[in-house]
Amino acid sequence: MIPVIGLVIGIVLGVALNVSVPTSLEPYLPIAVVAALDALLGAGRATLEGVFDDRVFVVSFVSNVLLATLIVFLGNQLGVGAQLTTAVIVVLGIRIFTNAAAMRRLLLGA
Amino acid sequence: MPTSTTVSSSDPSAALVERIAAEALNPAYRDRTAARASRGSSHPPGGWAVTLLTVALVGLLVGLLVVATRERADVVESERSSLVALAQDARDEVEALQATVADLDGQVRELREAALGSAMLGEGQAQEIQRLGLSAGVAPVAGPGARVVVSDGDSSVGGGDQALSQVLDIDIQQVVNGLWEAGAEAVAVNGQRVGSLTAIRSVQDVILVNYNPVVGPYDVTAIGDPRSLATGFLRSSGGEWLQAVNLSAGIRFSIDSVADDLTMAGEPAGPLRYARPVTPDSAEGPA
Repeated sequence: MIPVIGLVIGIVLGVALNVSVPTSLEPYLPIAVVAALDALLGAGRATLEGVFDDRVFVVSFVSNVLLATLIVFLGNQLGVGAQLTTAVIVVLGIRIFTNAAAMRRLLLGA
Repeated sequence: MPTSTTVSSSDPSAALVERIAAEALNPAYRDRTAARASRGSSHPPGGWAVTLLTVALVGLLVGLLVVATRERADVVESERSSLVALAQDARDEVEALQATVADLDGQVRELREAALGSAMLGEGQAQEIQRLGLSAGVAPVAGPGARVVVSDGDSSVGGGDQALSQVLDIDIQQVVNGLWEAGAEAVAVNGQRVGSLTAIRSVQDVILVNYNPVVGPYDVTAIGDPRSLATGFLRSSGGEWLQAVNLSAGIRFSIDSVADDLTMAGEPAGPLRYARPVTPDSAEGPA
């Protein structure tokens, strides 16, 4: 329950603060958010399976966001930014979907 | 419990997806739990604050992205609407300028008629100018004649291809040429008079006559002998062309004699900058 409250507080802060993201960082924000969601769903599934570990969660969150941003940055420098973004989104999307499906099974048994 | 799928597919792409799905949960979660269990401390460590902070950070990123995306959508929308407004302004300006052109043309004609009416020119010269104006398509004319209406065909006839059953600029050109061939003295397409400098051509999907866009159904009117113009056109190259494209592409057309007066506006020819009259002195063509 507490994590959900934390998430809501974060979203409200993000919307309410109305910080305009620097233009140079804007291309990386979507991919960073998808990576962060991947880490979040992984943590949710781990909690339901009873194997949650805060250190793994924090490390996976930070590394996910940094790595995804770095890959897209590198791709932009090499002129294949759009393709690498697609690749990252596909991988993260499969992981998010798999973890969400696992959580659904654990929660609803179906 | 999560399935440890061992469906070893021979398809490499399916195997890749399976591997990604199998490792969807960071294996470190289970490793560290197993390590803790082996140490005997089954209780997961605390650190709620760190977890909460990280989750809040995820939420913060989501919120920032939502705001940024919405702002960008607003910017795109405002740019689009300002472009639309610019285009609308330009169109209004074009319309106003076209009205000015028509107005000035009318003034020129009035002034010329006033000048011709004065005693400066002889009666013969005035008639000559009138005759030349009719031939060149500059002067408005009225008279009986024929009307050819050409329109896009059903797409079902032309093999289901919509582009094939569309009237092209060459169809209109053939109709106009056929009407000249059949003895027409003046021709207009959708009210656009075909003059000495008229071009009929397509720009993308739009047919331009006198650089003005015309849309179907294309109403080609011609002034001439009402008894022979329609039948003559049907036997001309233009008539044959229409029957051919009617069969092959489904283009529809109708030809009617018009006994009443057809009226056509004049098409003011642009200034001639290079062509000059040949006087008897300079007329030394090749022998």
